[in-house]
Amino acid sequence: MKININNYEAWMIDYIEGNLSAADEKELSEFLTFHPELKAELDLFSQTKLEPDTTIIFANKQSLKKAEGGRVITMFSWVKYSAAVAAVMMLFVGVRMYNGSKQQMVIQPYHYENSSEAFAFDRPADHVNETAVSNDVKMNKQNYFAGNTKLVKNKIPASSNEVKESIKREINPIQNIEYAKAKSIKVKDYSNEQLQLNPIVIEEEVYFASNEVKQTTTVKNVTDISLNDNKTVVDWWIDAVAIGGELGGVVEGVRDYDFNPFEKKESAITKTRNINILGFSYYSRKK
Amino acid sequence: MTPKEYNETVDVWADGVYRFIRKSLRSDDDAQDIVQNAFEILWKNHENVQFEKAKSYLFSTAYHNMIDHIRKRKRMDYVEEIDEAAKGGTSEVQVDVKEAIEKALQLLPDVQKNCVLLRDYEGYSYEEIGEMLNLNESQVKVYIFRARKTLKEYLVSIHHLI
Repeated sequence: MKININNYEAWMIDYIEGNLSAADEKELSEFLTFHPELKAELDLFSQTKLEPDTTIIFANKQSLKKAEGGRVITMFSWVKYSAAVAAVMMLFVGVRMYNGSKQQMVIQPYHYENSSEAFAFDRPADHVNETAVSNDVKMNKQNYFAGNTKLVKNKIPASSNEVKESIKREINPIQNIEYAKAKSIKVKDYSNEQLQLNPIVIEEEVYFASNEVKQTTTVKNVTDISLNDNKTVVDWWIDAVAIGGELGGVVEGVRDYDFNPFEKKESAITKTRNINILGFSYYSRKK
Repeated sequence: MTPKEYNETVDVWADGVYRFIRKSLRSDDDAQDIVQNAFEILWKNHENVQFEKAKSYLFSTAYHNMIDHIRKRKRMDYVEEIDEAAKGGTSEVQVDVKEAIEKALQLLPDVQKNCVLLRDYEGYSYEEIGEMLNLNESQVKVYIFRARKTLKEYLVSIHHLI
């Protein structure tokens, strides 16, 4: 459409928007020579072009950034003994329930009838040369201890509603503890409300907590678990431990792709430590 | 998109998206939350979002967050604030054109304002803006046209005052 006194505004806007062809621009300019009184209007239109206020910046960009490689949080770098872990966890579980967290987890303690046997794992004499012990022997040992340790649940009344609504499972945490192959818990995808279990093969450098013997093994059938974002590391651990137990194994590390509140490890080889969770056998999870 | 590329996105676009949301919403704290949230969503999906698309994904996500936010808050106070700003603009003589435009911007309906902000701040094409705001290209063009006309009328009124 030709430019005229009724449609010149659209032309002007198109001009400042950069939508006009060279020929159109010429036409506009010719039109303005006939209507010089409208030139001021073109000026005003060009003033409606906003300029970004570069003083406005997002101050804390660092808070938005994510770690660029997978890493493992080692728990035993700060909590060495299982009893301490148990105490800390109980505390936090309590806090969690008290806060009415939507993902509730009830952990009840139990005791062993023969506690000396249950703690036999911690005798360093059994593990002088960890690397020399074949997996078969390890497995037999586990089964032996698992079979010979009886669990007696303490009758701690949980809130009846929570228990009713929860799915209860009983596990034996002794099983697989000392020699468990690494179960790495990875936080991968928060968007999905469900857990995702993917078997992966990974090389792990394992430190045994009891005697500090280092051993590098290719760990197969590691279970890679994606958890929902539970905000705090403690939350992750509570979930990770529970899930590790559910899988019949032990959580040795949380592979964390988001942020690492502990030390950084850029290497692909991850260092983990065993976690003995004595004192927990019984938990229920609200799905 | 790799985590590295994600972090690059933070460096390059965090300011821009924050500026857009803040100008549109006129609330600093809320804008920060919205931007933070948008980046969280981008991070959750970073494996599925191509690096080249990250910017529009981000702006679009932030925009939709903002819409949700406004709906949730039913920002009555916000509307009143705008009216105040508008009244202030006409009663006082505005010497600074830039300031006047900023005020006039708040007079615009949200959709027009957002179109203009994305267009001028970020240089998006009509098509890209349309994708972000769920509009078609010609709607975007019409909104920008109307917005500029309103802004210009506002400037005219100020010039008359001067």
